[in-house]
Amino acid sequence: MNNDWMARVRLRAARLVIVLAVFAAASATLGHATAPANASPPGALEVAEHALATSPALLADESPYELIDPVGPGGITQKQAEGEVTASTMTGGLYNDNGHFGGGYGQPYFMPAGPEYGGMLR
Amino acid sequence: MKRFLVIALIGCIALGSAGAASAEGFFHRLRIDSLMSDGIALYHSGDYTQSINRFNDALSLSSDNVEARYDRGLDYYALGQYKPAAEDFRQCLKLQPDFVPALFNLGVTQIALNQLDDAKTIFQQIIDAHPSSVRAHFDMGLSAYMSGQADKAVDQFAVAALLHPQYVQAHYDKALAEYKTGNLVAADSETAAALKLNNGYAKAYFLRGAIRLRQGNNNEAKAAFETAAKLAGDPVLKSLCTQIIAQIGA
Repeated sequence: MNNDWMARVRLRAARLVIVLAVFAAASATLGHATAPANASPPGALEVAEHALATSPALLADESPYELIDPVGPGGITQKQAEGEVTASTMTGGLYNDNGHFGGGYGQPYFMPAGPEYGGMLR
Repeated sequence: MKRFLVIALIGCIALGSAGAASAEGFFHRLRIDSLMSDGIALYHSGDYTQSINRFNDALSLSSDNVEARYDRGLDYYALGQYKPAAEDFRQCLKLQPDFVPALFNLGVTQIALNQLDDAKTIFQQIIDAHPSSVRAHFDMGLSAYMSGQADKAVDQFAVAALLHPQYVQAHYDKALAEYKTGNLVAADSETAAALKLNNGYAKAYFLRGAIRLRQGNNNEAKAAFETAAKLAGDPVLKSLCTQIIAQIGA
């Protein structure tokens, strides 16, 4: 009598363990089945096109000589600065129009002689 | 005789005053030039804040100094302060309407501010006055490309590349704009032109990779992205290439 009761308890416990194990396995399988669909990586072309369309760094600018150089004492003259804008060719940030080189910073600046400047040269 | 002495005395006083005023003007001008020279040297050394201080001092001595205002605008631009930079370039143009460098720099600053229509108006103005300005055509192309007008960008980059065939960026940007319009043949040809001029141009290899992917040539695409990854100095571009190479291999 006592042994029968113990056997039934063991049987029920064993069934419970099996049910729990199957349920756990199924949950894990289902979880895995949904994860890749959500995290599906974009294709190579998609990544490349997205980068080309959205990354400003992929558009080439004139970074080293984006703006026209400083003008005035220690810089270039206004005429040279205008030449940088209007030149039809450029070489390494310096303008080179019709074979005449100019532009670029660090050019000596000579103030025009005249009463306002006292004719002084730098 | 007495009369002569009085006249001579008055003459001496007048000449002395004029000389003093002239000397004062001379030293005033010298002080401004010294500040300007310091400001420009500081700009070139990358100390933009100190450079601004020098130009401020120069402007306090001569408020209508176009060059000081223009140079200060360059400092603001270098610091990424595009609004005050634009304001300085505008003020220059009010003081000296024919100061083309200020107009050009205002256009570049408008691109930085994403005011692309204003930028296009400015570059068009420069192109109208100077049709062979390679830089105006190039920046007009940038403005058009950034505002989604790939066709117009192609035209402008084409002019820039025609004017200056060694202009690598013009060829590359034309290729990029052609790619955007869907003209893969032209994009490929311009990419080749850019790479012929500079075979270490990582961005151009990246673009070539994208063109090959669109053409369905995965092997050549992979090779192009590998070269781009090898040449890229920019870690973001390098990482992008690695990601794409992994995807091609998958």
